[in-house]
Amino acid sequence: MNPSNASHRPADQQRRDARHTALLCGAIALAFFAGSFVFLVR
Amino acid sequence: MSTHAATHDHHDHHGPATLADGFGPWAMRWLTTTNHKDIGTLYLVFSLIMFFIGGSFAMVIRAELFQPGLQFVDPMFFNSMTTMHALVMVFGAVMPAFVGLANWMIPMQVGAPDMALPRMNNWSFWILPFAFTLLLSTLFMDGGAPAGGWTLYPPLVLQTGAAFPFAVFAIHLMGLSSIMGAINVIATILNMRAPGMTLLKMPLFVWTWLITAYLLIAVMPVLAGAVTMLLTDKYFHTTFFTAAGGGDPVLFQHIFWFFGHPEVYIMILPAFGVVSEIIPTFARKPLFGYDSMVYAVASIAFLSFIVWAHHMFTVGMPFAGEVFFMFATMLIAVPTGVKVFNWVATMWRGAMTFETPMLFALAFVFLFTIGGFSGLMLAIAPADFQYHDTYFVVAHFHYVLVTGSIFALMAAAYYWLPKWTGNMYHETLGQWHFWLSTIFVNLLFFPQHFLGLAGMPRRIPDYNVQFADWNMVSSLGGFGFGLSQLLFVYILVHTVRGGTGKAGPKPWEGGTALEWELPSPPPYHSWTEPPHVK
Repeated sequence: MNPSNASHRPADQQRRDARHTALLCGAIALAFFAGSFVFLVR
Repeated sequence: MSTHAATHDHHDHHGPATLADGFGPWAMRWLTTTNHKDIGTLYLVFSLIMFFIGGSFAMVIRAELFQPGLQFVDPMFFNSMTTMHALVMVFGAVMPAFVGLANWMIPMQVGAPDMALPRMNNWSFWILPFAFTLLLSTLFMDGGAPAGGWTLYPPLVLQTGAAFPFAVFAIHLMGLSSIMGAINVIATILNMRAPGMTLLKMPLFVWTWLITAYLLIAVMPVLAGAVTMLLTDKYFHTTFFTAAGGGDPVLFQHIFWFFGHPEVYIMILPAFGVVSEIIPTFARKPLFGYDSMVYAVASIAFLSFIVWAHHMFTVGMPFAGEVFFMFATMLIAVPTGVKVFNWVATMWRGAMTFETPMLFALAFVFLFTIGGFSGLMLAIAPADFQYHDTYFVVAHFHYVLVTGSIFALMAAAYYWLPKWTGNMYHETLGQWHFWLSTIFVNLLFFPQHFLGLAGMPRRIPDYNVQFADWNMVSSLGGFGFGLSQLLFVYILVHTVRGGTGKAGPKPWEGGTALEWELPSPPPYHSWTEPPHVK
């Protein structure tokens, strides 16, 4: 991910990067879902 | 900001089907669209419909509370109305409306041709009509719709009848839609910006949405976890929240509010973004303290994760917990104060004009701040013991969500309608809509402060006669506010059908963001060649 001029990258690279970002976000969401249950461990 | 406009009409040969092409192609266009503007429109229309459905529930509530005694509905149905009003307004009206704005504006403002994941974008939207059909269908089920409040506290909510699993599944679907929408926003902003569009050159609306999207992917799954546990408690004999089996109902409140408090900021941060776009435009000055605005939004988002228990001061927390959550909550006033100061400083010595979007934005600053101050009062733990579960709380969060979020959405609609449609809205009618809304909304919610301080509890269909006068005033304000919104619908339809004339690419001379470089309406595929941002 190049934060300053993202669109300079070739289109397929950009698509791959977008997919990686989405997967990372999905992983964060799953971690928080799991976390809501971990809350229960006392 | 940009050096050239993009008018790519030669790309429009496969343009969108209209009704003139026949109903089938037109319906398929909207069902299968992957275009960010189409999906943005779908979200906005959906949220407007939900705004009126949720509003009609509010009318039932205000009609019942017009006088003491039971007039129109039985208490159980009244409780369903308060619950459904909140669920529909939060998840069906405010959140999808901001996602609609994000879909329309983020690609245009960062110089991208579309959202990063267009097919997922389609899916995110089309989940919603199914989710809300499920939720609203519970009104017709045995035992009625959920009536335990939108907070779904056990053990009360576990008494819901046949509606319960439907409501839980609807909430799961709404969460899924929000999470996918948020992922799309993040992937778009991080990967699709035009050359030269560095993070600290992004319009504030884009910044607030980036931060909101992170809040969404962090907290919507926690709500999903909480309602899943409710479901297993009711149907699979778990006892997560049942004291008799070793569980703890207060734990639900902790998990719910770990979602619930950031949720409040999910509904207000994009509103901050909208207002930060509009005020500089109509003050004809750059936003004062851009960097501090970004840091303030990020600080508010961070703090939103460590204040949740201020919603539950009265459950019996340890003293240290009460003190921590009290001071952490008060800390939020600091970045919020930075923002309000910056908006005022932006207007200072500006060449201001007061078109409808600016009026709504100004009312936002003033009235949202009233909601902020009553929030500070509620943050004081010993005082909250008095205010808790009274109409003071209802007044507080309606100032934040109606004169805050909804007013910002109105401001955004008037601000960007000329861009979206290519037509100018009727300015005089817009100003009528503004003044009617502002007068009636204050008539509706300001007296609720007095009712709450006098001790009127929330979520009740009947009350002591001492509360009668202000309830009558509040109900009259409610009916007036509801009716005023019909004028908004008329203005929208009138604008879409031609309005008062063509808008031109830049109807607001003070606009500086990239969307004003495009024609109005923008081509179906905008920025197919990225603009170069200096």
